[in-house]
This record gives sequence, structure tokens and C-alpha cells, in this order.
Amino acid sequence: MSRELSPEAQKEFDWLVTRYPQREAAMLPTLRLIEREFGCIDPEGMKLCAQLIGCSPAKVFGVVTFYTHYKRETDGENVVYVCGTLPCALRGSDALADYLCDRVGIGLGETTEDRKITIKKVECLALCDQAPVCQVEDVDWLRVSKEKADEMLESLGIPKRETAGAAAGGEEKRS
Amino acid sequence: MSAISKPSDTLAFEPVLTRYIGKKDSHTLDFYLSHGGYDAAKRVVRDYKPDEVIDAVKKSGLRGRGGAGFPCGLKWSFVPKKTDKPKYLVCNADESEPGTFKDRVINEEDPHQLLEGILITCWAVGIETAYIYIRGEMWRGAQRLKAAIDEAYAKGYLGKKIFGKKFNLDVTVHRGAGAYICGEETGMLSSLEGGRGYPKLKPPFPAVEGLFRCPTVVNNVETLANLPHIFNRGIEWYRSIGTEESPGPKLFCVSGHVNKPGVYERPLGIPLRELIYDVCGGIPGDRGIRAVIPGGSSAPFLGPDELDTPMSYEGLKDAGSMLGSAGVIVLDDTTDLLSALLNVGKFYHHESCGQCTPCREGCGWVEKILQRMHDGRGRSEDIDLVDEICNQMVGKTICVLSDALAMPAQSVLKKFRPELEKLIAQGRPDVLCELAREPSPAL
Amino acid sequence: MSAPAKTVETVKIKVNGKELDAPKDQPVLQTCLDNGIYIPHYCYHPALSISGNCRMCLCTASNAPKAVISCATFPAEGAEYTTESEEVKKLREIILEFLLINHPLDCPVCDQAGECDLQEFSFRFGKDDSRFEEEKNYRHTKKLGTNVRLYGNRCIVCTRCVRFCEEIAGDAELCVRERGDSNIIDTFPGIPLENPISGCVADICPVGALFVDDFVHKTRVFFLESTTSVCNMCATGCSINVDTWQGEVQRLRPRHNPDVNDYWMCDRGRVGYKYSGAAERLSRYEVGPARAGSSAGDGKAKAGPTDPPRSTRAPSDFGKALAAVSDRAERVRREHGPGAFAFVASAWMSVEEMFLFRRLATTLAGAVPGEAGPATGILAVADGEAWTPRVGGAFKIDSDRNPNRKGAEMLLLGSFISEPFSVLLDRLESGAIKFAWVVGGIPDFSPMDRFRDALGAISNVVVTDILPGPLSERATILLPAASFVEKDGVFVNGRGWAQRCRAALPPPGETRTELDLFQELLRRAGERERVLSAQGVYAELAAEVGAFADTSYKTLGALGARVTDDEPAEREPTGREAAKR
Repeated sequence: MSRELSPEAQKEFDWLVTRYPQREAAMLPTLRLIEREFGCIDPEGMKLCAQLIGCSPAKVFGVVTFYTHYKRETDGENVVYVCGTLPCALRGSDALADYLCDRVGIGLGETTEDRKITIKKVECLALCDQAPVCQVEDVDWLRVSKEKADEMLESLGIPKRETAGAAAGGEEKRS
Repeated sequence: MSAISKPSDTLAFEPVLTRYIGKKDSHTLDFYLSHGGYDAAKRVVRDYKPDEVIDAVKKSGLRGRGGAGFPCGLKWSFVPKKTDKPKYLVCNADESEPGTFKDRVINEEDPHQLLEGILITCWAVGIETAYIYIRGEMWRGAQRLKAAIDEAYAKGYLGKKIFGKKFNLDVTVHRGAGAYICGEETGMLSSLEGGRGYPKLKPPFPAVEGLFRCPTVVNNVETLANLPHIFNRGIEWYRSIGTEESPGPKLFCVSGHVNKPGVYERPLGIPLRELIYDVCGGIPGDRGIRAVIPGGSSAPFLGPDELDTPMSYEGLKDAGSMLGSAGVIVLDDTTDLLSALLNVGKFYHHESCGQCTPCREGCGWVEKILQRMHDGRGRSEDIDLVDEICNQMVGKTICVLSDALAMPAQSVLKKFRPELEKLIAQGRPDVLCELAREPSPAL
Repeated sequence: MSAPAKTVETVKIKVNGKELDAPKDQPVLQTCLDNGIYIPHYCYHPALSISGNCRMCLCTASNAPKAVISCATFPAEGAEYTTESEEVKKLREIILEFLLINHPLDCPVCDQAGECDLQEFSFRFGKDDSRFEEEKNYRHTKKLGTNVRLYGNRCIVCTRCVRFCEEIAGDAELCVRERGDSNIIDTFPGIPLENPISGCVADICPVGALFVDDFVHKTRVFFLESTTSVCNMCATGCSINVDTWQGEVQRLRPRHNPDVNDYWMCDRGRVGYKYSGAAERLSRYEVGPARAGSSAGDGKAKAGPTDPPRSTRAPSDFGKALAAVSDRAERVRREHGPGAFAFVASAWMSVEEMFLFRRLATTLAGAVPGEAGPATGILAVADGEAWTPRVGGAFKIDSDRNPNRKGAEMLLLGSFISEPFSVLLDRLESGAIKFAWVVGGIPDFSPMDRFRDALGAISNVVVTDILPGPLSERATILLPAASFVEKDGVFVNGRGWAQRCRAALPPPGETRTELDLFQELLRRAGERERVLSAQGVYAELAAEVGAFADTSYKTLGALGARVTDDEPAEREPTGREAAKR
């Protein structure tokens, strides 16, 4: 059974293609649409994209695998992106990633068994003055200390450690 | 060092690009209009002929703020006047050079400033379709830009017959999806066309054959944001800021080991030392400086003896580095440079698109050697080998990503060689071989 | 070379000091190649869009500060290009060192070894050592489709195959996935590479990454003997190389011919040699008695299947079999006259064979003024599906699955065959035919029931064929035939393009070619003095048949020539020309 967009999403797609002189140019936004509609981009989603855009599924496959920010079927419900680039690394992002992995009980790039959380390294999120930085879905977590990391994990359903101190100020998170 | 004209008085400087950043509702059209917004665009569209706009921008000396510093007006003038093809503007908001976070501020806090710059550009070049290519990770910037575009359409600042003139313009926000190379202008065009973000062979240059094989202007967010101010306050005013060769205000992004990291608007030419100590409050714990990357991680590292370098296109060029995107990353004297360089190497290896042989193979090779050195398995000949591989990577590819790894790597090998040799001789990972042992938002 | 005779705008350039007229719209690389100046390259292919990724063709130019890739450099008036210098030598060494760092260097088990551009360029332009001592990357090895296998570790991601599938084959089943040095060729999960010309990706792969499955671990390529020939699987007649070793065809490869097939051939044609090596190939002359119960003059033949007479045939040899043919024909001619003969040619015969067969028919049957001549006809296989590439060039898969129907039209129609096949059938069933000679030579041929059954009731049935089947089963005299890889001859494709097929192997067992067979019979009948080569027969034919006048094996050369006055088909632009719009 092949997939279809919901009527609202189809409407959005129909608008999208009017913004470009060539249909194929709507590829990236269409993939975003499919990601939103179906929670991730899996082979069925890629096929749907190919069908909507009018290109081969292989072409979509090549495009999807080129980019790192699309949610893939192997990813968990929430992907925790830990910025690992130099400005964040200078402020301890490696240690932060280790800490997160340790708390969640998975390795970097892995997904929890209940498919709730994936932890990935990401390249520079352009929030270097707020280092170290994490992004979880549409929320940027800034100046992430261990305490802040605990708070972040709590928002993902992982209870805080007893020993954890008071939470840092709420303004250092944007959503 | 060549004679460099003195920058204007940096202390008396009044910011223009970031004037409203931090003010409540600065991103809304109402706010923007109540502060003289779109006045420049209105005047330009009503009173200037397109050629006059291009001339004015040429005279202002505005140089591209994306990294290459190419004169903006000159770039526009390469677009053929007479063509039966449509022309496009692509605004490069794919800010992804490590250590750079200036465009994000404009996109999120003052998107109408950018849209006004886009209006002026499109009027000057005769463009009816513009795209803002923004990083996929920047969800808020995309939201704010979309909202601003909606507001502008509703007000008639976008769409048909703008300002009552024969001037139509459509602007669309196009989100990327996680690929540094899409910040390279032709990689961005490939991505916008719906493909892998492969940089394109040049020539033809985008001005002649770019997006959809049509003449295309690609300008950085900050570059475009400069335009309203040039037309509001005049060329003379603009040239009074900064240096002769690098006029105008500039957004400097300072990160790493400084007390007050952030985006700071200052005249081009401000000495690096002033930026670090006076503007950003110096180094935490009053520690010394080991190195500074002055223009995003593609720029060659500067040593502690180079802090008086003026932060201008020509000043940094003379110092053997580059202003790039003005992403200043400060490394204090506790920093292990090999770890820092390995981090940079990993970044470029991860982000190489893989088209050209020297970059695809070279970046990974360099990373592997650096990793080995880092793991305490370095050989004395590795330093020369990495240097030689970097030589082999420079100037042989479609875009400059491989140069962007080679240049900083070579600067480190050259400037900090004794330190690296010592690390190799120790033959084991040093305790310093980590950049930080704790997540340290405050230092 | 391939360009139609149009005026090509040129500019004057210098390459290594030598002045050249360079076509304006052609990359400097191609101009250099056309002028005998070799520049190593991987990603550039004249039929594909320019990608410029391998960087192997870097050279220096007087008008550029940095080295330029000659595949994407178009000539500028007065510019000087240098392809031979210390600097360029160094550039090539650099690129080759990079290309090899993650390459497994598994040449001993690689089927490309011996015709690999990575090997070749490393030998000619590379350094003799590598400074790479790290662990190599690993990439997948898998079948991409029924016919194509990928060895990912050897891939240099030149993307020729991807561009081919998108620009030529048109289905774009291949992509480069991942990024950077993880880049790897792949198909979409569940949608394999199955276009009708998929094997071409192996031809254009410059390294040992893609192979036609049929050739994997079959022969070392340096042992192969290559013969230029023409494919026999459809009326396109792709120019090919027949590669043999130890008396067997190992593979067929397309050979560049801009007027016929460009660089391509279809997957069906690529394995179109298989039947020639089949174990059941007919290779023995066999002669049986004339069919009993329907001997000369005893009235109407019964329609319907009859016992195949094979069991009654006895092994014979070339000479005796020919004597039997002559004797029986002589008797039938004497007893029944020319009207008792039927000659059925095949659209799989070469023009020389058709020319001789036509003459032989007259010789054997004789001619009596006022009396009916022999019944004649021609065998051909039914149409298949036609296929054309997305863009470009002369190549197509013809719906006509016969290699020489056009030749048959030119040599046999009108002069030899003047009635429709149904008339032949009627006459075969009438009982009046006492001697039928059927030339088959068509693999997997299933004749229509009426034809097959009628043959089974005719007293003398001579069958010339390659494989056992309904025809050979009904033969009273069986003459084994040579396949297209075993004979010389000319085939005329559907667009009137004549090309030479060349023998790459001897026919199996005692088999002699039809060319020998027909000539020997004619010689015995006193019709010719000696048995000539195909070239000699062609010369006779060219002297006699107008369309072939002024052509010879020499003028046909390797690429053939047009022999019909039909309007030449408009040449479609090739991939790159089309991409330029």
C-alpha cells in the first residue's frame, strides 16, 4: 500500500511546488513535509517523495543520505543533537556527550531500546556563544552543564538523579 | 605588513545592524516600521534606476560578509543586463562555518532588515524571485523569516507592483537539511535545485549561470542587511566606518575561551586584541592565549604574538590568515592544539561532499593521522606528512572545502611545531589531550 | 569523428607548444584525445554530462592561475595548455595517491585487472609507493541488479554509472549515497538496476567496481583475444568486440560506433553469444533416406505432425552430405522440375550467404521456361519490444529481432522471394514440393505449426541450422551451421548500415561455414571455380547488387557504411549535447 499525504499536507505541497520553476527544487521542503507527516523519512517516505516530485526513488535516496538533519527510521522519537564542533568542544561538549550517553545508557549515535531517544553528534549549530549546546527536536538547549543536561533528559522522561543540584535558569532554553 | 589605513574610532562606534537586537518584538513588521523600516527600500525603488543602485553599492565598498569578501556591487554587475532568462537572488543563510553565529541573530531578531536588503538587491539587479536558504537546524530563524515574509506580502512590500512601481518580487524560505557544504554558494544552488549539495564547476559563475541555469546573485545575510543603512545614511557615512579597503560595520562572533562570548558589531579593522580584551572581557581566569582562529575554522590560526592584527579583509590577509566569516574562536593557553586541530579535521572530513578526489580522500587521511597522533601513536614524520597532504589538497578541487582544512592545519603545524613534536615524543595521550573535562558553560 | 558534417567553430590553441584548431564547444580534453595527446581521466565520458570530480585530467593553462581540469575547460582563443610538464606530472601523482589510499589493491582477484584505468594510470603516471599507513575504509559489495555486481571498495565515485542511468538509460536507478569518503553507489532498497542496457555501467566503469555478472571470475582479461564484430540479437546490429579464450566466447562488449550504437549495447545482446557455446550445438553432418510414404510423385502430403525422421539419419561428413544434397536435388529436378523445390532463407544469414543461397537455388532447381519456379520464403523471428534511451545518439533496441532483415530485403525480396509466406506454406502443403532446403540459424526458433508440419511430410528436407529443434528434427539431411561468432559476413541493420561480422572462433566439430558449404555445392555443380573468402564473395555481390556497389570490406572498415538510400534517421543529440539544451 503506498503512502499518501494528508489533505492539509497535500495542500502545503501543492503550494510548495508553485514556489519553484522546477518541481525537483521542492525536494528538500517536501522531505520536511514527509518527515513531519510520518515522524521520519523511511523508504516508503522516500518513495512518496519521488512520486510527488517526479523523480526516481534512487535520486531521493541519494539526497536524503547526503543530509544529516532528516530524521531517519532508525532514529528514536527524540534525537538529542550534541554540538561537537570546536567552540562547543572547548567548553566540554565531548564530556557532555559522554555524560548524556552514560545517563541514557546508550552509545553515541545509538537509540534506546524503547526507541525514545537517540543521541547524535552534530556539527556547529551556530550558537557558539552559548556553548556547549544541544538541540532536541525544535528546542535549543544552551550552556548545557551537567545539571542542565539532567533537566533536558527529564523533559525526555528520564528522571533526574537524586544528587543533581538545582536547575539552572529557564531562559537558557529556547523553543 | 602593508600600510593599513587606520580604522575609525572603535569606541565611539554606534551599532546599526544590531541596533534593535534584544528589543521587544524587534522581529515584527510593526516594530521595524516604527523605526524607519523599509524607508530605504521605498526610496531606492522610487528614486533610483537599477544601475544607480549598483553604482552606489560599488562606491560604498561593501564587501561580501559570507567569507570571501568579494565586492558586492561588482558581483551584481556581472549579471547580464539583457537576458531572456529569469534571474534569481539566493540569500545565503546557511551559516555553518564553525564559530560563526551572526546571521542567526539577524534572521531571528531583525528579519525585516534582511528583507529590505533583498528588496534593494532585486530592484538593482532586476530579480523577481528570491530564496533564503537557511540551515535546517535553524528552525527559529526559518519561522521568523517566514512570518516576516507573510507580513511583508500582506503589506504589499512583496508580491506585485511593489511601492507602486513595475516591480514584482517573491521571496521563499528554503530550509537546508544538515550539510556544511551547502554554505558554499554553488553547493547551495545544487541543494536548492533539489539535489545533493555538490558544488558546481566554475566557470560558469552563478552570476551568469546559477540557479536553474539562470543568472543568479548569491549574497550572505549580513551583506544584504548592510544595504538599507547604506541608502539611509549615505555612502560617505558608510565609508567613514572601517578601513579604506574594508569599509562598514561588521558582526564579529567571538566564542571559545573568552569571558563574554557573543556577537559584536564593530567597525572592520578593529584590532583582535581589542575585540578579545575590551569587547569580550578577556580570557577566563586571566589565562594567556595559545591561539586564535580569526575567521571561522577555515582560517589559519593566529599565535599569541599576532593579537594586534586588524580585523579587516586586508589586515588578516597580510597576517597570513583571513577574515572569513569573522567567527573568532579563542583558545587559551591550557588548550591542547592537537585536540583542537583534530576537532577541525573531523569537521571537514564529516562535511566533505565527496565529489573531488583530493578532498574526499585527503580530509579523511588527515583526520586519521591526527587521530593516531592524538592517541599517542604519532610518528616523527607525521607532521611533515600531514603538511604535504595538505599541500596536495589545496587548489585542486571544485570548491575550497579541502583548502579550508588544509590552511588551518598547516598553520598549526607551522606555528606550533615544537609543541606537536613534544606530544609525539611523549608517545602517549597527554592529560591535555582533551579540550575540557567537564561540560563548562561558565569558565 | 562522430559529429555530423557541420561546420564546427574552432579557435586556435596550443597544447604543449603544438598549435591546434579546437572546436569551441568541446572540452580541451576531448580535443587533445582527438589529436593523439593523451590525458588520463576517469569521470569524463564523451557521452555523458561533465562532472569534473576525479581531477585526474588536471593540466595547466596560460590563462588560469591554478591548474584546471581539461574535461571542463573549453578552449580560449590563443590560450596555451600544458599536459606534459613536471607540474602536471606531480599533479597526476597526487591524484593517484589519493585515489589509491582507500582502494583495496586487490588486483589479483579483480576481473578488471589488465584493463583497469586505475592500474594503467598508476603504472604510467603514478608513484611506486604510498605513504598511507592507516586503516582503509570499507564499502559494500552487492548485486545492483540481475546483471550487474558492485565491488564498492574499488569504486572511485566518478559517477559515470549514475550519470549513465539518469542521462542515457533514463530510469535513474543508481545514486551516490552518503557523503565524503563514505560515498558509495547504490540502488534504492527494493528497486534494483534492471534497465535493458544495465550492463553498460560495467563497460564505462573505469575501475574494477562494476561488472556484468556473467563475466565475474570467468577469465583474466589479458588472456582474451578480441575480434571486432556485430551483435546479432536485433536489427540495430551493435558494433561489438567478441572476446574469446580457449575456444570459447567469454563476453561481448559494445564498440563505439556513432552511427549505430554509440557506446552501448543491450543486456540481451550482451549474452547473445550463449547459444553458440551450447553443449547441444549441431556439429555433425547427417544424412537419412528420403522420407518414406511420401516418395516422389505419390500425391498429396498429409498435414499434421509426423514422426521426426531424425532416428533414420546416419552420421555422415561434409563431402558425403553435399553429395547427397546434389544427388537428391538432381533426381527431384529431373523427375519433377523446378516447381518441386522450396528454398527458405533466414533473416539471420549474412548478405554473402543470401547472395550464394539465391544462386544455389537456381542451380539446384534449374529453370524451365513457362514452368513454375521453386517456392521461396524467409524465416524471421517475431518482433520484440522496442526501446530507446532517454536521450541520445543512434542506439536503440529494435523491435525487429532479426540481425539482417534489411539485407534480406535488399538481396532476396523481389528477385528471389516474390510471394508472401502464405504462398510458400500452401505450396509446401500441396504435396508438390519434393525438396525443401531450410536455413535456420535462429536460436530458440519456433516455426509456425503449419510450416513445421508441412516439412515433416516432404521427402527431402535439407536443414542448415545451429541448434537442434523443430527444424532439425524434420531434416532428412542435416547440415550444421556456423554461428555469428564463427563466421565472416556482412549484416545490414534496420537503418541500412552495413557492418562486418568476423569469425572469432572456428565452428564446432566438423562444421564448415555456410559460405563454404554453398560455394562448394556451386563448385561441384560447375558454377564456380573456387571457394572464396567472405571478402571475395562480397566483392562479387557488390559488383552485382547496386546498393552495395563501390563498397568493399576495406571501405566498410571497422564501423561499416550506409548501403541504402533511405533517409538517414535524424541523429539525436547525445547526453551532453542534450544537457546543454
